[in-house]
Amino acid sequence: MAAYAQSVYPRIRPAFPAGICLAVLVFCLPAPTFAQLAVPAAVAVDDSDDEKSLGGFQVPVDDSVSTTFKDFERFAARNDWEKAFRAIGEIPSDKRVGMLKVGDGMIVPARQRIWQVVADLPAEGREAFRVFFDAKARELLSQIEDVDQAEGLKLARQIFDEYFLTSAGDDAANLLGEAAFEVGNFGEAEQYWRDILDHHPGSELSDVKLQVKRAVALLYGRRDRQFDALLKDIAQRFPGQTVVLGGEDVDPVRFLQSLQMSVLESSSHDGSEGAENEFVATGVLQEETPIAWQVQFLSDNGKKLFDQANNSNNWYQNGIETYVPPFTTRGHQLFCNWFGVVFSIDTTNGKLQWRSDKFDKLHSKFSQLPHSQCNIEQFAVVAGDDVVLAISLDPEKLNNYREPFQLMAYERDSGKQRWKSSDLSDFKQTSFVGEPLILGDNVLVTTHGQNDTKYVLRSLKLKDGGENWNKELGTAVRVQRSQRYQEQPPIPSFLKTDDAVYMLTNNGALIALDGQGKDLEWVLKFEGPPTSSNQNMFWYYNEPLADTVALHSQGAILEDEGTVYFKEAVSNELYAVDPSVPKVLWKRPLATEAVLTAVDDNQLFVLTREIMAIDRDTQRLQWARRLPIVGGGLSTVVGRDTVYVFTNRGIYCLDKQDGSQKAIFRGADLETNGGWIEVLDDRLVCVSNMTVTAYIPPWSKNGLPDNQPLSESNRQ
Amino acid sequence: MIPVAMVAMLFATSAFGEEKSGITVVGVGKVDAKPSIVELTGTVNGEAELAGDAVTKFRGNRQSAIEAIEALEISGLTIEGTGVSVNSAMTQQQMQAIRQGMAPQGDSAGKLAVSEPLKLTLIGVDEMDTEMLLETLVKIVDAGKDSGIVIGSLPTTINYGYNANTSTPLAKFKLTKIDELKAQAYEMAIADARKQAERLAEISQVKLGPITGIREGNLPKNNTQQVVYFNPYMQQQDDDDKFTSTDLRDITVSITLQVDFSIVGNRDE
Repeated sequence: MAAYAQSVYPRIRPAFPAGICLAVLVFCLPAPTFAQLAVPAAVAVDDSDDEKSLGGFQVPVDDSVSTTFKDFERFAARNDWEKAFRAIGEIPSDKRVGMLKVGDGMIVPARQRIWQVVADLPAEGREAFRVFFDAKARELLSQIEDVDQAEGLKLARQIFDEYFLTSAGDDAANLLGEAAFEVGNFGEAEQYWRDILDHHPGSELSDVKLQVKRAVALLYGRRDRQFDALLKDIAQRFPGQTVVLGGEDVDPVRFLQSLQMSVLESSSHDGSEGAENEFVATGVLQEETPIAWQVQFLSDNGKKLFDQANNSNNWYQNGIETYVPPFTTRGHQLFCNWFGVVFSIDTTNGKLQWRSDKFDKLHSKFSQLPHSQCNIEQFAVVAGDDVVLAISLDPEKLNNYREPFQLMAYERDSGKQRWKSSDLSDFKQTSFVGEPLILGDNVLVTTHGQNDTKYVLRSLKLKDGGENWNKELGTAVRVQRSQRYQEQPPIPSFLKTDDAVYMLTNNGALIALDGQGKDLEWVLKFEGPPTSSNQNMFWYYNEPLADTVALHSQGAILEDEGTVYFKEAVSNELYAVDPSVPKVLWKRPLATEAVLTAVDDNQLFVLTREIMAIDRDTQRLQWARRLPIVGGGLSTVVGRDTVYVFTNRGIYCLDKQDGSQKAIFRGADLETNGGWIEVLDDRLVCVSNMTVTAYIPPWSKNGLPDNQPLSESNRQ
Repeated sequence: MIPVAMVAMLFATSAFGEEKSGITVVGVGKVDAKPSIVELTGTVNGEAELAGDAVTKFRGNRQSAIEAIEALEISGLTIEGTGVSVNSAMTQQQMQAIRQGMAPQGDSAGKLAVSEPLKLTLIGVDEMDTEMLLETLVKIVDAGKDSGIVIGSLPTTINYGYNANTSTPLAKFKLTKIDELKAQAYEMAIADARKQAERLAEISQVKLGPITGIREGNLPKNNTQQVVYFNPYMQQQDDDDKFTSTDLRDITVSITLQVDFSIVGNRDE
């Protein structure tokens, strides 16, 4: 959902490519540009039933690596170093392709797991390791100068993976860090330099210089809080020391402060699309806040039919009455997918630019919709530079049994259909699920078969839907969410960060992939949703909807300052994960229906029928406030001092610090259920079950001439 | 107030009984009065998996509810808490299990609920015209809804079934000065009794003497079999509940007295 994909709260944007060039010059890297690092390709997991007992999403299992690794652990525990290192020697770098369990549900690549265990050896083991492998490592390091860049990187990687504790390990890590930095993998670069500082006490590399490098990586990686903390640490630990950067002796603190200013300045001049969308919401919406425009996609007549259909349905309720369609924004356009009718609005004037079908085409379907066989949560829409992608159904097939959801591509400007998955022979019986993630000229999307829950991650070409590659991720467990006939496969959520793609299965697992989404980095397995065998399959006449259904609770995943926060759709736990280790930092209970909506410097914001602010550091509930929330579209706009929530009684403006009510702006949507809210350009946009409405908030510089009221001219 | 005297069922005991002589009648006094108080009940609660969260939510919700009501600055409106309760709230799965007649699974995942009914009392409504009263009530209900209070008493059970009616009244209209109204009703009941007794005496050609006994309530009916169904949930009503209406209309204070008059001789004497 658009509301989750981008936080409204402002962040420092790195200035590319100027910033990178500056930093590269600073470090005066002798190493040339390196290719992308290799990462494990296969999905294989330690043989243990622990993860299976947690239920939910299951990844394929392979125990080939784990047996040898267990031998190593056993010998190491007995301080039998010779046997231990011999055992680990049987898993050379290129064989460390499986996945190994760390504990607490974390499953990481064998390469990473083995590295960590070796790095954490006691002093005696470390010394023994050096004796065993130092000569070999030095020999490999000396070869780097004689080979090309790609080969050099490969050797450095081998030294890092297999011989990190030797006298060559820190040099290899430093080289890899600089290479990662050069290609923009700031998190990875910072990790390499941190590894040297944390695990290589004998390194001759300058501590202060490594810390400065880390700080620069954090700065470009938008980890402002960590940067500030490190800057303070450097100032305290290395007073008066200088470092040689670019051939000059410089004060590290002054240098970093100056670089920070430069990055801030560059980010304010970022000319990319969406950069102008940097309005920061602040203050309350006064009663006289003008409406810029409104588009009503569910007409008054349609609403009557819709209500009639719902009122006469008292058994198998799927929550259609509180459903708010998904939307996304791009540039000055807003796209919405209303039960398969995709439409585009010009957000500067509220004009309907195009739609894939007539809105009233759905009217004849309303009577069937309340007990439709389709999973209404599966509709999705995203937009790229020139394309709009919708996960959708032909409105004529809304009520078909297990009708596969298609991926449809529309020209962004005209709405002309570019292609659809059902026309591609490979995908005729494939159901697309989860909001697609556009990466350059390709799209990453998950699918499952019409009658199975085997989830496959696919990279498709935006131009024609052709498949680049696919990868089987695992098998999900169907979930009984609504009061209807059948269980439904879970709908995964994606998050793209600078150096990773995360897929939240909403089925008991978080999967971390590399920046291209191709290679598996790690999996966090936790308790999955209850299976249908444990669930009630009977409902009563007029039984109220469960909150998870009424509120259309969705899983959400957010990242800030290098920490990933997530809550699955049918889970009752909120997680914080440090992906650089990776490890679970904390988790805390939350209502099953709760949706994580936003994160700012200090707090996480969660919505149910109330809004909650949770302290990021202590995980304590700072404040909570009950709101008249009745339906889907759970979202917040977190401004400088105010949090805004769109309800069926208006837009609530709450104090960010204590949740006290500053104002309720009734607005023009009191007939609706409330829904999504988002800052778009200088407008505050609300998407409800009937309308899309844009208001001119007080922070807008571009108001209508005379506080123009809603009229035929700006209403469609 | 509009005093209304109604003629009650005339009841005469044996006028010349063996053990005592006299006339016993039932007098009814009724006083209709416009309610002067309206009461609304709003429930604030905090419910969470963690006890600390539940308390934080409860405090926040209570504070915002009180602030919202006080911000209305309605003269004569007061808000008071009526006691905090702490309960273990059931999960939806547990509730479903109970509905199916199955034992709910363990309560480790159950929520803790802290709640308190808030009594909102508006006095002086008898001096308001209907329009103004409605406007004031709507303001209170709106403010309550805005602040997330559940206005109105929640039904203790919900029937999911055909024609299930789950609507609950939002406001209760109440009388004040009930003692004064009752005193009037007593006077009217005695007057009513005397009037009936005199009439009986006249028909019977006897002279009516002074009152020899008064009992509150109706006379027991002879030759009728009464079946009483015990209802453990039915609580004794006090005056507070008795003189209450969920509709905005006059409330009747009714007194029924059984009055014994002596007979002091024949009319001709």
